[in-house]
Amino acid sequence: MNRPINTRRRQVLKGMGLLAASGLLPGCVSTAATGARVVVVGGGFAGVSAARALLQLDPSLDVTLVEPDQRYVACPFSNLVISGERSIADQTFDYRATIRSGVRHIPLAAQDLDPINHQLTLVDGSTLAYDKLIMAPGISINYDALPGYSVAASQNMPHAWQAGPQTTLLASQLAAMRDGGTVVIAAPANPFRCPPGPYERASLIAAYLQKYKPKSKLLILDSKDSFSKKSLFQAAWKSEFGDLIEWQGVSDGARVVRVDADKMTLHTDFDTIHADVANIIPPQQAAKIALATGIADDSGWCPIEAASFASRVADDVHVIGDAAIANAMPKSAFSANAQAKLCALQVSRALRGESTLDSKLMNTCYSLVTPNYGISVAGVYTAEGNRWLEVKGAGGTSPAGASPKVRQLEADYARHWFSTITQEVFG
Amino acid sequence: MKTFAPWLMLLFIGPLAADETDASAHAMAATCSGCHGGVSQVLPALDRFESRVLAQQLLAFKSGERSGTLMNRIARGYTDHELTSIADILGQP
Repeated sequence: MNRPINTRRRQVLKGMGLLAASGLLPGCVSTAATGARVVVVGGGFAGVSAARALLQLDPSLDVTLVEPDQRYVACPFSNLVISGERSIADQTFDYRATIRSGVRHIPLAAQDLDPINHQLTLVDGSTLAYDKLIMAPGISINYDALPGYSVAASQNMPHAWQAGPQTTLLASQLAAMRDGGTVVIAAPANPFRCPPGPYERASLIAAYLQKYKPKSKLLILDSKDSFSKKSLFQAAWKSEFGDLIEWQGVSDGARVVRVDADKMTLHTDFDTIHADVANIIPPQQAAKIALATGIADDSGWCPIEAASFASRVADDVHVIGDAAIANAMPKSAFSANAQAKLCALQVSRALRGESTLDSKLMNTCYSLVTPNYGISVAGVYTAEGNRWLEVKGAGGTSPAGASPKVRQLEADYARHWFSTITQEVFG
Repeated sequence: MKTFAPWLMLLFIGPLAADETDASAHAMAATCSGCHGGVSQVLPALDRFESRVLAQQLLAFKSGERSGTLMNRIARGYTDHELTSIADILGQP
């Protein structure tokens, strides 16, 4: 990028040089400063991690975070809010530390993109010019893909797959349900945000029901036959909850093809199921801004060159987090954070005219079966062309038949991970 | 000045490295803080250890000589050289 650096910025850079020389940030001798403008769309784990990493990599950068909300409600651990063991406040973070670190926050939604002229338009009609754009917009619910489901229907049958009011709505429905009621969870086909999430949710709801409403049942209607940590979840359901949870897959005819939110019914090709509480985890796609700007392809997700996270649709646009097609890497907060760090590094290198680095990434997803019973799945990934591939022989799930002590340890590690990552990203 | 997150320091040093192998190792090491960056004592902060000790432990996780809940599964994803480089970056000299 060969855009001129303005005078004010030069003075700032000089100041930064002095700061480094005085040893306030040992090791941080300034690299070639570019003064380039980087705009980040989306204030979740991916976007905030990237924005902050960019500034640390090159303090001369002009980094703008475009995020309409002032607060971010984290999805990981929000299943404990649904089961009544955690407050939504414990899931809620703001951007004050991010702003203090030098990121400019614009509390508006992005509306349009002109990749040729490197310009992003916001909802108020204003425009932002960029040298590099990092899109981390997350998911949107694909209401069209499930007949009967809509924003209005989600008030009766919450998805709770974007944490916030939907999470507390599902929690309050569960709390209000009679003992002996039926909770139905509809789980989507792949790919979707947080692959083990529906099953952790089922587990924690079951733990709640067992304790407070033991005559109740929980039914999972799944649009697939296999799911993340399936054998571990199913063994744990049996040992912890007996027959409380019933899971049916697509081969059992359990794919939900329609819902009726007024009648509180879910419809498969064969059956009509009435729910006292219905949690519809619907089909998903990249956030609206990615669809509207053509950064997403026909799959509804954003194709990238793996190692650099560069969009395969538009130059100088990178896509990270749940919206990106990262193949073997699951759509998780851990992945989003790991991708963001690498993407920030690649973007800062590209701005200095340096080549894309080869690197591996990893992911760890913990799930709680009960507050004292944790399981995990991990993976290590390499970038090959347009694909993030799993390193063979590595990764996998917690062992079957592990001791209660190991399950307790993994539950402790899960909590530790959440506090560590949220502190790193938002603290 | 805001507290400087250790993983950011890792990334920052990366681009200064003379060759790309080092920069890649820094990029890989930066992902460890997803779990190991915290102040709580549940999982150890890695900068408490000497690099030599960290490398030994990572290689022991990889071979299965030491068993952990998750680290065996992670360590098997890296070459011995990558693990040693990561340990060099994260640990004390």
